[in-house]
Amino acid sequence: MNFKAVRQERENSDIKEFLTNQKGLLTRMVLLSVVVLLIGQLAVSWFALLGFEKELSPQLSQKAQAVGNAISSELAFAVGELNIPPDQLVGVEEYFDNYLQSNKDIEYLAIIDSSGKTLFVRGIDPQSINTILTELKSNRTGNSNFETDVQGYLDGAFSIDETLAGTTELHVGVTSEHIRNQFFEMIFEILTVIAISWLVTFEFLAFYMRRSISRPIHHIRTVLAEGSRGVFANRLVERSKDEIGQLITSFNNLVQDLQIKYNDFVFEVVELKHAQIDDSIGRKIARVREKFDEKFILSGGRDVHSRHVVQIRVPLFLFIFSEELSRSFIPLFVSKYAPTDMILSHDILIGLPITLFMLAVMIVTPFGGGLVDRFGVRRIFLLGVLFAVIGFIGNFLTQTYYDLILFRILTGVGYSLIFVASEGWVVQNAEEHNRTASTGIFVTAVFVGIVCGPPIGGMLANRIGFEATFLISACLAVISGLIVYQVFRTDDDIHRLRRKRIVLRKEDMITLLKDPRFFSVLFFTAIPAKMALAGFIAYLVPLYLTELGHNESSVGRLMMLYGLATLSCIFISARFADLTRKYVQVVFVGGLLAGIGCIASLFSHKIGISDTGAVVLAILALGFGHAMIMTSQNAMILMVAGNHADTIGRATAVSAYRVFERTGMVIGPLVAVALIAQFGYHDAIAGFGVIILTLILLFMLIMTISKSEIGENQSLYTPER
Amino acid sequence: MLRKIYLISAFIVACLTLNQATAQSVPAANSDRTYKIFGVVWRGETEVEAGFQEYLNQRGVPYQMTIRNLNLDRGNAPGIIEEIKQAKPDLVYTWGTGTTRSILGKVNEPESDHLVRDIPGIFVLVAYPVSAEIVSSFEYPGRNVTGVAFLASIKAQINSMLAYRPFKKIAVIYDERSSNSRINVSQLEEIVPQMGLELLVFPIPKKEDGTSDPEAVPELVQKAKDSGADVLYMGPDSFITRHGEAYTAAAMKAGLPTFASTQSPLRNTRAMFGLVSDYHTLGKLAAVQAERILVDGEKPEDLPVARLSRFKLWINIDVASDLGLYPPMNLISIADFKQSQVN
Repeated sequence: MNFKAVRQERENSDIKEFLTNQKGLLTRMVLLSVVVLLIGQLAVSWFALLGFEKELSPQLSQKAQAVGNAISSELAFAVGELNIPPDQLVGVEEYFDNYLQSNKDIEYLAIIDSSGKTLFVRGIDPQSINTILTELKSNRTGNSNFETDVQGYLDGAFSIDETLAGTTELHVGVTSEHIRNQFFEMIFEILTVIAISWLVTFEFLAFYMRRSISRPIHHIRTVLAEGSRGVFANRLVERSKDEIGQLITSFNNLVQDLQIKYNDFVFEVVELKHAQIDDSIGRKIARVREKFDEKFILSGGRDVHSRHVVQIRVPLFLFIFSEELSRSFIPLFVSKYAPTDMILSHDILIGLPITLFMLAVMIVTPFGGGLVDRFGVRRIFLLGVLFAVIGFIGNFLTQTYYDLILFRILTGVGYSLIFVASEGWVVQNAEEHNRTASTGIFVTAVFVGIVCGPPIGGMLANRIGFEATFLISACLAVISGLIVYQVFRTDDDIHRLRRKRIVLRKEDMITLLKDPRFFSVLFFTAIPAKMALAGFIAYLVPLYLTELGHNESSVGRLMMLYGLATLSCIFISARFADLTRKYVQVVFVGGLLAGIGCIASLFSHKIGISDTGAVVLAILALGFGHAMIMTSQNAMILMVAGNHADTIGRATAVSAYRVFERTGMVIGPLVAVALIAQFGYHDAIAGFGVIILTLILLFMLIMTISKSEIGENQSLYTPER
Repeated sequence: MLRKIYLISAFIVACLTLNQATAQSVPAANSDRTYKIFGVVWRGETEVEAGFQEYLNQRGVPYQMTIRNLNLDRGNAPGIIEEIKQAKPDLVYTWGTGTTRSILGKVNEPESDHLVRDIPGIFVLVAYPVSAEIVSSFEYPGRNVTGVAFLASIKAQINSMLAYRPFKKIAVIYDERSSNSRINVSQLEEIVPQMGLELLVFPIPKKEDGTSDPEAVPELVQKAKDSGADVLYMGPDSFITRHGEAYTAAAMKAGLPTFASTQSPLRNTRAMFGLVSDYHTLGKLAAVQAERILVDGEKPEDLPVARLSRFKLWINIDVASDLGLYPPMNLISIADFKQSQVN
C-alpha cells in the first residue's frame, strides 16, 4: 500500500526534525545548568583558595616557627642560664640533625653570632647554605615570621643571646616550594572535584531530561504526527504523574473520546445503511465509510511505551564509577594482604587478583548474552549488582589474601553481568537511525565512570582508607541497582528480543584465526591494547607512582588522565575514521602513538622530564592511542568478519573476537610483573612500548601484504546482524 | 576529736562528689584506726621521707610517723630497737643498707631480741638488697620486709655517660671492704667491656688497722688520670661518699669529670654528673608499698621490691664549666641542671 510508505517517510523526516530540536533543548538546558554550576563552583573555590593563601600559608610556617621557638629557647637556656659561650656549644650538629629528621619541611638550621660569623650549620649542602647566609648577613633584618625570602628559602631568625656586641641568632629555613606544593595539591583536588561534579551533573541531568521530558514529548509528537495523518488508534503509556504525565493522560482521553465518537458514528452509518431501500444509496454510504476508514485509523492501535537507550546510562555510569573507585589503589590494597611466605613472588601475588578479576569477566561474558536473552536485562543487571555488592562488602571486610581474591572474583562476575546486560539493552533498544548515538551513549557512560572513579576513589582512600572505600563502592552499586529496579520493567524486554543466540564453535574459531587479517587485528592491536590497560594502567601505574611518593589522591588524579584522553579523542577519531574510511591507518597511528609514548620514558631524563612526567606521558599516549585503536578496530573487525558472513556469520565472528580480546586483560598484569622483575618500574614502561610498537608494525605489514578491501563501502557502525 | 572531724569531712566530700577520686579516700575513712609508722634514718631526714609522707597524706591514709636518726653510727641501733618494741608500730621504715641491716637484720638470721623481726618492714636507699641479704630476691622477698630499689642499671648509667661525651676509659676507685662496692665493681667489670669501653679498677689501699686509707684517694685519682682514664665512676660506696670532697677536689685538679650513681655526692661534692633516682619520687614509691601493706592488708613477703622506671640525669653545671666540659645540646632538655653546693 502506497499510503504506508508515504506515512513511513513522513514519520522518519518528523523524527529527524524532532531529534535536532530535542538536541537543542537538551543542550541548552544542560549547558545552562552546568555553566551556572561551574561559575558557582569556580567562585567558591577561588575564595577558598584566597582564604587558603591568607590563612593556611602562615599556618604552615607556624609549624616552622614552633620548631624555631623550641630550638631557640633551648639554645637560649644553654647560653643564658648555663653560661655556655655560643661558640662552645657541644653536639649542636647531632641536635640539629634530630630536628631536621623529624621535620622534613625544614631545610636548614644555623647559628650566626653577633659578628655575623656562622658558628653551626646543618641542612642542605654547605655551599648553598653559605650563599644564603652571606645574603642574609648583608640584610640582617630577619624576624621569626618567615617573611625573608632568600634564594627560594623562607628564613626565620630567632634570638638566642643578646649582648652589647649584638645578637646571636638561630636561623631556620623552610622552602617556599613546600608551601607551594601543598597549595597546588589543594588546587588540583578542587579542580578534580569540580570537573567530576560537572560530569556527574551532566550525566544525571541528561538522564532525567531525556527520560522525563524529551522522550515523552517525542512520543506525543510521533502520535500527534500520526493523528495528522488520521491515525488516532495508539495510546501512550506513561507512568509518571508530573505535568508530562497529565498531558499524556489528557491526550489519551482525547483519543478515547474520538474512538467512542467514531464508534457511535459507525454505528449510525451502519444503521443508516441498513435503513436504505435503495441499494445504490446503501453502496454510496458504504463507500463513504470505506473512504473514511482509509483516511482515519481509530482502532487496533498499540500501546506506545516511553523507552530509550539512554535509560541505561546513569545506572551503568554509577556502576562503572563504583568499580573504578578502587582502580588507583587495588595493587596497594592487595600488597597489604599478600602473604610473604609463598613460592610465587610478591609481585605476582599483587597482580593475581587483577588477572583473576579479568579472567572472571572473560569467562562469564559469553554466557551473559544467553542469560540476558532468557531472563531479560533487568534481572541480569540486578543479579550483577548483587554479585558486585557482595564482592565490595567482602573486600571491605577483607581479612586474608584469599578472601580478598574470592571477593574480587565475585565483583568480576557482577561486572561482566552488568556489562552484558547494558550492552543487551543498547542492542535491543537502539533504532536503526541512531545506532551510532546509542553506542555512543554506552561508551560515554563507561568512560565517564573511568574518568571519575580513580580520582574520587583516591581521595576517599587517602582519607578513609582502602577498605571503607569499598563500602562506598557497594553503596553506589546498590543505588545503580535501585535505579534499574525502579525504571526498568521485567516484562518489557524479553519479548522485544531481536538477537539470535550466538554459539561459538571450535571450527569457526580456527577458521577465523587462520584469516591473517582477523589474526593480526586481534593479536597485534586488540590484545596488546587490553594488555597495556590491565598491565600498565591498572597494575604498574599505581605501584610506581606510589613508589615515586604520590599519595592515593594524586595517583587517582593521574590515572584519570587515561580516561580523559580516551574520552576526548574517541568520538573525534571515530568520526574521522568513518569519514575517511582509513581505519587501518588510524589504528596504526594509534599504535605508534601509544608505543612511542611509552618508549619515551627511556629518554625522560635526557629530555628533562621527571619520572612522574614520564608516567603521565605514557598514560596520555596510551589514552589517545587506545581511543584510535578501539574505534577503528571495531569497524575493521566487522569488515573482516563480513568476509566470513556466509560461513560463520558476522555476529559470531565479532563475539569470538571479543572473547579473544579479553585474554589481553588476563595476561596484562603478568606481563607487567615479568617486565618489572627484569627492568624495574621505570624501564618496564618502555617494555610495554616496545611490545606495542613491534606488534603494530607487524600489523601494518600484514595489512599491506594482504591487500584488504577494508574501508571500501562499509561504515563503522553497520548493523551487525 | 581530729579523727571525728576527718571522718565527717570525708563523709561530706564523698556525698557531694561521687567521682573516682573521692571514692578512693573511702577505704581510709572506713578504716577504724590510725597506723603507726616507725622510721629509722642513717644521717637525718631526707627528701625520701618527705615524699613518703606526702603520698600518704594525698591518699588520706590516717597515720602517725615517728622518725629516729642513727646519726651515722650503728651503735645507736639497740636503743632505737628497744623503743620500737615498746611502741609496737604497724610498719618499720629504714633508710640505707646499714640501717636496714642493724634494725631488721638479714633475711635468714635467727630470731633475736636485738632485732625487729615481727613487724612488717620497708627499706629505702638500699643499693643491693639481695646481695646485702636483706631479702632473698627482688620478686619474692622471703620475709616480712620489702622496699624500693634506687639504682639505675649499670647499662643505663654507662649510656648516660656516653650521651654526655664519647668517653673511652672509665676509672673506678672503691672501698674493697664494702660489699656494695664489690658487687658494683663486679657488675662494671662484666658490662663495661661489653659496651666496647675500658675499665680501670683502683681499690683503696688499707691502713694498718685494716680500714681503707682516705689519704690514698687523691693519689689514686691522679693515678687514674695518668693511666689515661677520661672519666671517674663513683658507685654506691659509703666510704667514697664520705670522702667525696677530697675525691672530687683531686678529680678537678686532674681535670677529670666524676660520674655518680647516687644523689649524695652530686649534692655534697664536686661530682659533675650522674644518673640518679629522685628522692622525692623514691619516697612516694615506698609509700605505695606501705599503703598496700597497711590499708590493703597485703603481706610484705608477697610484694616484690619496687623499681623506679625513670631516673634523672643530674648535671652540676658549675663543675662542668670549670672542667670546660659543657653538656651537649641533646641533653639540655632532658637533664636537671644544678649548682654543686661546694665552693
